[in-house]
Amino acid sequence: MKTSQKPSEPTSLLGRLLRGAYWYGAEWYWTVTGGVILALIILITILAPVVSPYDPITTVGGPFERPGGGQVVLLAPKGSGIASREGLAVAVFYNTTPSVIAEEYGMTPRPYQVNKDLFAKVRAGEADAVLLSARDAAQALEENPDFVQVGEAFGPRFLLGTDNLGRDIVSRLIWGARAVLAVAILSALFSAAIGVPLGLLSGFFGGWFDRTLSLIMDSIYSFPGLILAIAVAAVLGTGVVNIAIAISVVYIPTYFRMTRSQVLSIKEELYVEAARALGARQREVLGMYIFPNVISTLVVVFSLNVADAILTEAGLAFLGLGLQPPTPDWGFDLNKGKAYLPRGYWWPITFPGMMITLVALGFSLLGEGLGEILNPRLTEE
Amino acid sequence: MYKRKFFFVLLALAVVLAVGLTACGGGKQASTGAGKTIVIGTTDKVTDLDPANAYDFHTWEIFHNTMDTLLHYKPGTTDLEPGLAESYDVSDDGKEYTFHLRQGLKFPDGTPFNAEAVKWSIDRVFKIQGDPNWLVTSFVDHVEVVDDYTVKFVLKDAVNYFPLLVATYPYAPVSPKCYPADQIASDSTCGGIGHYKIEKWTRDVEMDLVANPDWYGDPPKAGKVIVKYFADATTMRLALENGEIDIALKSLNPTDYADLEKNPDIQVIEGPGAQIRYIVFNSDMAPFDNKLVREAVAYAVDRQAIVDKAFQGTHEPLYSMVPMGMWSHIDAFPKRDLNKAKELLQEAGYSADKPLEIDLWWTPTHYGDTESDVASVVKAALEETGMIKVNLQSAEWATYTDQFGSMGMFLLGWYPDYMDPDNYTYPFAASDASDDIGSNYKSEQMDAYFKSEQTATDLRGAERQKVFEDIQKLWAVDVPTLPLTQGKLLVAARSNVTGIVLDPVMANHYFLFDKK
Amino acid sequence: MRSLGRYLLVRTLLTIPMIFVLVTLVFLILRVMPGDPVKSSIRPGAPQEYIDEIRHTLGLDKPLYVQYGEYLWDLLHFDLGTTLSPVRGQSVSEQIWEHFPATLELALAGILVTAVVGVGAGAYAAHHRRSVADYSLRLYAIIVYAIPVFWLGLMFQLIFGVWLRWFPIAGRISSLAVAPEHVTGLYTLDSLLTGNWVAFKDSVMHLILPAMTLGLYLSGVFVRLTRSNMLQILKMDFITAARARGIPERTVVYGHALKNALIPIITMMGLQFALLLAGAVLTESTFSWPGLGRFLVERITYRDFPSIQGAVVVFAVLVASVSLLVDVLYAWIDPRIRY
Repeated sequence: MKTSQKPSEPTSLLGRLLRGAYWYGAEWYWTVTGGVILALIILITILAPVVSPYDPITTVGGPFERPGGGQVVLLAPKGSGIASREGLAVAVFYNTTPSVIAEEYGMTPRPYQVNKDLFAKVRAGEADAVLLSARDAAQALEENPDFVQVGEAFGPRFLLGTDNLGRDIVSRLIWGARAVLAVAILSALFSAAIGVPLGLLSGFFGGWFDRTLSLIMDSIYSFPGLILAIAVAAVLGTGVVNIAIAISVVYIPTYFRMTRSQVLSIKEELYVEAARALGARQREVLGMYIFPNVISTLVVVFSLNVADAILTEAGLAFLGLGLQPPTPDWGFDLNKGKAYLPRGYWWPITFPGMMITLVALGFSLLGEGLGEILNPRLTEE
Repeated sequence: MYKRKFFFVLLALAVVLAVGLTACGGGKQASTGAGKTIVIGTTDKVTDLDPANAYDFHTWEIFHNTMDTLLHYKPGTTDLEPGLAESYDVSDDGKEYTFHLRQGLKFPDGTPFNAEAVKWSIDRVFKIQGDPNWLVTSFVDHVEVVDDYTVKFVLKDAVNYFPLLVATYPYAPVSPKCYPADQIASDSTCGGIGHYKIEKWTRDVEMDLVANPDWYGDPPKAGKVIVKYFADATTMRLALENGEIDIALKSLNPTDYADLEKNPDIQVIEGPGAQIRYIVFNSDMAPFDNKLVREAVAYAVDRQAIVDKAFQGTHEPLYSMVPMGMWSHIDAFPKRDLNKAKELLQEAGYSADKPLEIDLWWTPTHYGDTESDVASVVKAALEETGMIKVNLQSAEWATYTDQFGSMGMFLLGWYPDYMDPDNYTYPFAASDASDDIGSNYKSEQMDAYFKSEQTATDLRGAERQKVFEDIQKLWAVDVPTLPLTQGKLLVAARSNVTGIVLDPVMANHYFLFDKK
Repeated sequence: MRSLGRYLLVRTLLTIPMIFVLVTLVFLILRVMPGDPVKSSIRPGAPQEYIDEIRHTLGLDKPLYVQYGEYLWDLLHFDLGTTLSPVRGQSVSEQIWEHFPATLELALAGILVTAVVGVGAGAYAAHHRRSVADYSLRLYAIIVYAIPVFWLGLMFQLIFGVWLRWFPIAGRISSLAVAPEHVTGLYTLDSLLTGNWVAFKDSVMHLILPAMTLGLYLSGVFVRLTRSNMLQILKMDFITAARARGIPERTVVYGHALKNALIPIITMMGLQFALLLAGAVLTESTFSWPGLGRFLVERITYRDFPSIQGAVVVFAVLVASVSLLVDVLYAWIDPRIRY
């Protein structure tokens, strides 16, 4: 093994990285990039309650607030002497950020349906001032010169905007990572837990058991995974564990085939023969001599499998067969956002897709890189 | 034997036009429309052109324009008027309906219309046992030919809303020469006796309708109607904007209507639809067996928020199970009142520290993409009380329908089978029906109301109306189900199109469409 | 070629158990599904007797093994049954046959895009091995694989459909009234065959975005396949010989080497067929493309067993026959391969 030629331990992290590149070529950087992406995502996932600016399932602003939007301004009639916003009755458009946040800032909202003149309502004495989205303030002041802005713009700022129910997209992305990772990793664990033992037994004992199992596994393996997952997901219904099981069914054959082929080649090795000749029991041969040699490949397959599982989970959710509200989920958000795409609302669909790509990429890079490092024969040239 | 006669005079369609949208005077353009062609677009599909088997919105709309029934709804209302029958009598026990048919009519293939044809068509429904057959077979025992133009329906039990059933399409008389007697004719363009005849039909592509020269009433405004079938809403919207179609029926994307309203060449017409959305409570299941809880939820839901946020304005808030625009509707339920909801919750023993925890069930696969938003908005509104904690639970439609009875509180929708308040109330709150829908509500008072409503002789009389108002009032107190919203009918058309009359019967009247 | 004939026979027979396994699996999965296809096809709250009656006429009240036996028997006669819902009694084979050309057209167009992009880029990467371009293309392959295909579609819709308004974002054709006369069911081909230029332009405009989506999604795999195959070929003696003869490097790489690499690439394409189908299902949903994938997804929500089973059988047969074709092609090219 390559690690046996290990030179003296490099001290700095940079040094180690450079040495790594020296040993393993460019793949080393891929592995590290993948690892860094995943470490960040996992950190965010763990810290979700701390780093998430808002609750992901609560309306915190108006619908379709643009990225960076959300701030509001208070416009009062000239000479009204209004200097502070506390206790004011403010005219707002119904179902917009001002109507949602007015109370939070100590004002009483008087909501009006869109396309009504808020300024006229204030002039008629129905409200003390107008609370308006900061974006519209300049034009409104131009059209209503008898009003002035009171104080600075205030209120929330939605970094990536809000969705159709006025929920903060950043928060949904952060909390969505939890669901996606949970489903993907769980499903990969399930698949491995079933596929690996079956592959070990099948490869080790052979015979009709092996032939039947191989036929079934090959059949599943050759079939489009997503389509199978759709069918199983429809049976099991929603929920993190159920979706994970549905996806795991698809990937059991991957583990089975990988393990079986490894076992087939390892069991002919001399040291296995020797162990047998020395009277090791079958269970010992399998557990102590064969299984440990499968592990390094298993790690690679696992990492690549999680990447696949993330994409499959997102695909299921996009088709409306994945996790359901109130659990925030990226694929589901894409499914919802699709309906509003023709109106040009790009932010609800752009960011969740980026996140899916990023996480899947992280696992792919990690898997690819590890594959090259641990077992150069496993991946192509 | 009492006799009830309809007005023989068909209400002039011009009156209806005035109810509808036409800006011009109407009434004068009797036969000018013969050469006009109206092109309609839809994303719906014709499933099956056989009235003995079709049971969907769009196909029934095609029937509405191509085959008349013995009685039919007056456009723009939910009231009946004579169709192929000029009048009918009901026996004293309410089990025999005798229809007196119009004379001298014939089917498009030339076969004369008579009592024999009516009986043959009903017998056919019995033989075929298609999807909507229960509308006939659950009620009708058999049909007798009295003479050439008199036909008698003998019912299994007395049903006072039988005339409303007769207006549904399984009852539509069809030509015995043109349809096979015991087989479904899915692609038949024979039609019945209607305003239009089907000239040409290519499945999922186009249907051409031409005015029926033998139609007994006023001729259709447009001599020809072409229905174009679109695969998706976006393309249909473009076709409307480009003027390739005059009218876009069901349905564009909800967000399209708001955009199109700004286009001066296009008008968006809306009317109350027949679809209603509501919450069903399982009155046998804790905590919903407590009336206070159901009432508190009724005060806490925010219908306006559902309409604006989830439905993007394509629904309206609804305050009764009987939809707006239907005879006898009243706004029975109270407006949103959070304080009142809190009081009721307190009375039921809940507080901010000991909140009411409930599961709200919804289904992602039957009511479209908006359903998850409906559930989320309802949850948010209830939690605004600070004393309710809502867990959203979802299940596939097939599982959902199987779970009626084990879900405590769930979202549902309703399309009527016949246009009567009875169809919107009885299935949910009558002791012998409520188990099937999962409400399990039982009330002697309510049952008594239903009994008196179902035995009233005058279907649209003041006496029956009073009963339905009482039912709606009791509904708001007992809350077996909680009405939320009513779908709007939205039609987008070129601005020169007139005569679009929307009513909760849901079928569009192609024969009233006209253009300047 | 007697042995090839025998191989062909054995290999064909071997696909039968595979289809059988999938059919059985899907049959079992569907039957343990909670939820009732009959109830979901009629309005809520219908009386139980009515439901039982329908279930009886459809044979859903029979024991599972009887239903299974009957299903297999019908399948042997190429009978996929009739639909349960949303409309009862339509022929499943007809419905599948109606949706199949759409999927085929999308798949072919997608393969075309993949072939051009993937093979071209892969050959280039192999040619310029260990260059910046090589690493970028390998990275491209990994990134493309990580992008959800439906999101790629959504982004194309947003950019080219909504912002630039170049292409329509949904459906196969503006209106079925424009659709060309039915010859093969592939709109682009049919409109060419019948000389219907309006339909041709319209169907091509509709096809471009979905084909690009599916094609780019698959291209990652092909960049890698082409690259590794090319690298092997470039090491071979005849390439060295060609170079020695002074043939220009470009001709050697894109002429001699690529030509020889194409056959393994094409056969390996066959192995990616399942990936193509899965991608097609999502692409169809994104673009409202009326193909088999969308049909399958739609019918799952209705619990329309016969349609779901039918679609799965068709998918399984497709996968099996393509892999059969690939193996036979391989055996024919490389006579050493025999089982």
